[in-house]
Amino acid sequence: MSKENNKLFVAEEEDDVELVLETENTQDIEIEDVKMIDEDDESDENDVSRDSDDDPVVKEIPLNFAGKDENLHILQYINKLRLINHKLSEHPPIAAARYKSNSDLWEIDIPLDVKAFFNADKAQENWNGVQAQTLKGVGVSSESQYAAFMQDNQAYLVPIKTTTQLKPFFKYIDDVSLKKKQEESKLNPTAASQRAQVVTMSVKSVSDASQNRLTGSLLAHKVAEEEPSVELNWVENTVGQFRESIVKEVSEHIIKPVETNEEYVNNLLQ
Amino acid sequence: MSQGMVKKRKTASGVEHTHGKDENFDELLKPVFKGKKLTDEINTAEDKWNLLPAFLKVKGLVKQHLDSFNYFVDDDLKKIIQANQLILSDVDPEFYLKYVDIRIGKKSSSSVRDYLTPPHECRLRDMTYSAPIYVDIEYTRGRNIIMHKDVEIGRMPIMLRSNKCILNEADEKTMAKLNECPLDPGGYFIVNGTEKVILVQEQLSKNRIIVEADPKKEIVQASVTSSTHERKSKTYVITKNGKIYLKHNSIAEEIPIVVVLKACGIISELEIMQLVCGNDSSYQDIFAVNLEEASKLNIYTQQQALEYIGAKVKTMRRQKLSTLQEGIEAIATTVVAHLTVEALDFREKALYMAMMTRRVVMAINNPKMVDDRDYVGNKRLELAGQLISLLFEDLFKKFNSDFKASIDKVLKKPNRAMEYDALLSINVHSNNITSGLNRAISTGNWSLKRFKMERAGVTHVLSRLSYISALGMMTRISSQFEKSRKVSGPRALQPSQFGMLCTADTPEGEACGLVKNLALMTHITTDYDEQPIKKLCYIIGVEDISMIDSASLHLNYGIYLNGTLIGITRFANKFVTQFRNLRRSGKVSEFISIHINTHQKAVQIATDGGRICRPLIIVNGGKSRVTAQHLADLMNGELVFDDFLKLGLVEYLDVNEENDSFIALYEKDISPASTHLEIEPFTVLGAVAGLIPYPHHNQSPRNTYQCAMGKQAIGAIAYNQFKRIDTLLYLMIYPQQPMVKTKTIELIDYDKLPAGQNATVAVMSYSGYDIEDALVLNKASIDRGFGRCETRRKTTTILKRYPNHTQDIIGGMRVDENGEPIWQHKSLGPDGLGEVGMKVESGQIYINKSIPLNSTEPFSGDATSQFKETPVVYRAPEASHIDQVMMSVSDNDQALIKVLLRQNRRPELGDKFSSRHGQKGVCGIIVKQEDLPFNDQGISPDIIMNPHGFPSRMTVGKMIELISGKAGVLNGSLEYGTCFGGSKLEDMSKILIDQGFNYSGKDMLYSGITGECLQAYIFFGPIYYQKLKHMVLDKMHARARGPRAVLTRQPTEGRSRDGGLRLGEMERDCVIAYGASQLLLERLMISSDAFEVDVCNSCGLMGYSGWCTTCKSAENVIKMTIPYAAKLLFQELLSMNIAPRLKLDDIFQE
Repeated sequence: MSKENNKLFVAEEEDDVELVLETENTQDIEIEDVKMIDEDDESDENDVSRDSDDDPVVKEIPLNFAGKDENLHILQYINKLRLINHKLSEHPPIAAARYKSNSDLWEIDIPLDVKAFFNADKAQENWNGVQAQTLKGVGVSSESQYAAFMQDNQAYLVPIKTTTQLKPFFKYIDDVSLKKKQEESKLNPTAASQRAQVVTMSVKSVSDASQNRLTGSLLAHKVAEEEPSVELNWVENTVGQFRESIVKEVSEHIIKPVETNEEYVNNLLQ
Repeated sequence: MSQGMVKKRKTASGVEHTHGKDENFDELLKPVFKGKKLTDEINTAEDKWNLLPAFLKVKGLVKQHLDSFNYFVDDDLKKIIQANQLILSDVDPEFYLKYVDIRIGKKSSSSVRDYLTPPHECRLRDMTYSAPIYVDIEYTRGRNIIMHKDVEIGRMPIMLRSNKCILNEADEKTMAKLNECPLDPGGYFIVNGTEKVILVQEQLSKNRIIVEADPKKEIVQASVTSSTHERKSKTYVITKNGKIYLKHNSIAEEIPIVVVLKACGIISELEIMQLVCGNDSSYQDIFAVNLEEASKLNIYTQQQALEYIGAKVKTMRRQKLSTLQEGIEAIATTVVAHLTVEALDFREKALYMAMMTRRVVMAINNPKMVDDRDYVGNKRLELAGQLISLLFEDLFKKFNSDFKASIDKVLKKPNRAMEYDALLSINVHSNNITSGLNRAISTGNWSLKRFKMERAGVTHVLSRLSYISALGMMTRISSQFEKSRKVSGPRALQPSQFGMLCTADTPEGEACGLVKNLALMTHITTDYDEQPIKKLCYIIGVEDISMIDSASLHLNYGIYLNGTLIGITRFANKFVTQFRNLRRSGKVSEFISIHINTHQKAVQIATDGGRICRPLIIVNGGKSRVTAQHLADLMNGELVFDDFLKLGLVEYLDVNEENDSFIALYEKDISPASTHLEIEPFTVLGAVAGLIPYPHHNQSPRNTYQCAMGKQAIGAIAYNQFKRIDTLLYLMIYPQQPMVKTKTIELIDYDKLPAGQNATVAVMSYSGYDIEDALVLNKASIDRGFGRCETRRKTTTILKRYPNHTQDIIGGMRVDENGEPIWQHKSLGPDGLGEVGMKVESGQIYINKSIPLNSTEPFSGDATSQFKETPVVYRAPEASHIDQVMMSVSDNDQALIKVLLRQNRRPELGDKFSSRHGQKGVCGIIVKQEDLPFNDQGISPDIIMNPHGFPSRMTVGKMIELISGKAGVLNGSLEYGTCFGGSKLEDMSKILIDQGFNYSGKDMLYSGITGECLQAYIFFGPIYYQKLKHMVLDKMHARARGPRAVLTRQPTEGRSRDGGLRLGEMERDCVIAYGASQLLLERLMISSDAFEVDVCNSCGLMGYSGWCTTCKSAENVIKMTIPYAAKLLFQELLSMNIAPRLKLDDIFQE
């Protein structure tokens, strides 16, 4: 993992990630998740014992856990080429970021590169003068996933709240096609809309109301649509600071396991 | 022991040969020779079969039914209740009713189970063996929340020997007290007094992708049948003109796959390509055309794609949705319905669709990458528990909606005097569940509203013809395929059914190969929760699928849990090993299977129910984990089968995992690469085929024939057979256990309830009455009881009660002037019922019942005159004895009378017998013992069988059975003919020689007629013979005159109606060809339906009494005889406005 400030894209192995975003607030980090320590210890041990022949232990590294209220989200840029991962300069800047907290919906605007292969006239004419590419994604809660960094030969693990895969979202196309559709329906009125209609009013019985409840995904879409999005400030170069805060917090606590190894393993497999 | 043997041999075979034979007999003296005792040295290879009885002790033969039912009543019911727990009122928003818990047959307050009417009493009294269903509910009454426990909502039929049955874990004493047979396997229901089995149903596995190809039409399709509690639907991904589309029943036309993926949120075509094709350029070439298809439609965004799909959805909805919403709904819930999306993220579904597409692309690229529908790993068995669960949920939903309707009805009324208590109306509907369950089980019609499913023939009456037939029914699997279709694939023997499904036991004819039977050691899994397994996978290092980018998806192995991609791993083998280790250490349920599919780069984990699996010994580093010590502990009772699982010595493998393993058949075959060792090879056969001695020496179809005939053999049925009153029961009077047993016979207790006798057979020709497999029987043997059997037939009468308080009565007997009962009433007692032990002959009465003439109008006093006699009259060629008379009260308070009639039968000409090798024959002649051949010892055969039965049938097993049986008789031991093992022929021959007989089983016989020695040595010895249920007495039939059908006036059809013997079309052709016209006339008309008609010669129509109604004259009317059927035809034609006119001519002109 490179140390330099914020980066959109990180090392080869973990091709995507890693944009540490400090959204609303960075709260005090309390460390209390005892289980997690065990988990990694356990798996480490297992791996070591089992694969000691072909995969010897090179080094042992102390682990530090951050754990309570970090608001760490991973944004994965699905469409980014792997080639530009390391060249930070080629990463486009972020113009705006919007977030709907209830629905975990992210929207990020990236200004279009108008210097090359961009037909400004066409954009103006056909697509309402589109200026930015919007990326959209739904956050998926990622339990027991951690972001880690090394500092002073110690590993620091910070739990991740959600992972979001950002995908292109062509709002301008949808807008234009909606407009077209409306115009079309105005131009070619259907027989049904022209005909004079007799409107009959009936008293809606109470039971009908309950049947019209939306459920499942439809409800989720409706909620997401109605929720106002929060405009977020895009701040870069905060990673170093964030790290320091974690290191500081972690150093104030020492985690001790409350369960025996066996109890823990049994709990895991339940 | 060895010394004793040497001595014996000396005495038997003379002194001078002793020296030379010693070396030959050395083998016999070795400790591994059979007859070894428990105290002897333990040899793993020989003794690991002891795991099998240990397995059957915990599992039993019908354990799959019991497990399935137990799972249903213990776990599944709770899940159903939880899924339907709330009843809300549309009228009163405050009102709710919630189901908290459900129990069967036990109140929460009491510590003991409810008293249930014992099963045998239910059988006798035509009742249903059931237990009450109790629910705990919480509901509002006015402002208060009330908790009510133990509300009965109906009764659930209970599977015998399940954990809700009173026979569960009952010892032999309790079983005897309850009139139950301790050997009865259970696993069936008793509904209205009849025993009903829910047959195991075979189906294609649900929620899995199946890829098929039709090379001729160039179609490749991937399909998945999604099944949830709510609905069932099928989704296809198919090719059409080289392009790939999605097809679904509720979407009007096929949708280009790229549009579907875009609708799932995979907007970028790069990502689509990555998900479907990965880096493989040949896949990319195949798939690229689909991207063009979408761009031709001008679909670029998710919204456009959703609207495109939404416009094509054709489901009926109560509420109006916009096209966008329709599209969302279609993608979220309709397509691949088992992955219902509840939130905004469609990635899981997108991946599933992409996987289906990838499988199609793979199959296009390589036509071998298709799935086999007939592969047992792609099938699931549906058992009683699952079927009842489906039914119960349907009934419970109905119950709830009825309940809700009646609550709403009350709550609607604005001014109620009292607070409404919902509990009052719950009992009104409780009969629906009870009767719904009863009706479905007793008729076998499974109709499920929510799946719009109608299935008939799900249940069958348990066949109690013999113990084996009942057992065979419990292990039977019926297929969903149509029997009439002429397909070979589903009927063929599948290599993957090895050890899972019996290879021999299937019926002949139309259901051949479609009806199968379970092998001896199979277990069928029940559903297991996915979530803990998913969690476990992540713990042992699977990367969560929601965090993986599309580019790296296909670089690694995918982990599929019940067919759904949940993550990837780079080190598949390591992951699988870890998972297996956890399973072997008991941390994960032993019935969860995991295997690697390298073609699809997939690790498949299955937790679903209905998979067939079987236990195998684990082999590690070329060594069986089960050691001699373990087996010694097992035999001493220190270990049971489950301990072997816990210790990680034995594990269950399902078909898929079995095919990912390297299994050694015997210990000597173990190589360093072996992963498992077979417990016993004879477990490839099922319970029924396990009866055959030396089946591995027989031609394969012979074993199949025996499987069909073993079920028809008359024998002992159960220990309670004399307490049973069944419609028809056949019993053998002196059944014997076979001389040549198999291990299976001992395991299924066939030796305790046998169906056959050891007959001494001479294989020779005798008398000419033995052609076409007919047998010659010894009269003296029959006198001694060979083949003697008993039939018991039940008659049931109900004394009905009528609305006007009258009821059917039983009259006394009528007497003549001497005070003696009249002949018809001879067997009656003073109570008007037959007396036990009395003989009833044809025409005599054994239930003297009368019914009231007036059953509707009010009762008018005079009792005697108003009854009509409707006695039950005995009609049969042979007399019967009254065995039992039972009078009781059935469920609906009407008197129930059952009379059991018994007939004792000795074998006669034409009765059918068979050995255990598919060799059936009828009795051709019964010969006096004096005339039969005899050997040096004076033994004459019970049966003489014609040697022509052998060459074409190639039943070598039967010959070896004879030799083993003969050796056993001489040796005083029971020999074994276990499949792939059993007593060795050489050993048997040695015993024969030892006892002074020929090694080949041939004896010198003397003719009983001339007393001369027969020219050839005769193959002579005991063979186990079964008497089959087809007996002449039940079939013989003749008629001189008798009843005629009303409509046609032709003789009735069938023996039961005393019908005529038909001279059919082919016989008619023969008679015509022969020119016997008068015979033809006699057979077809005079002896059938001759009828004299009056034909008018002028108009050609028929009149009557010499008068033509058409011509209004009697002038030209001629009498003639035609068949009544012909007359009927003319009249029917007339009724259709067609006038058949007869033109008559005199053939005997001067």
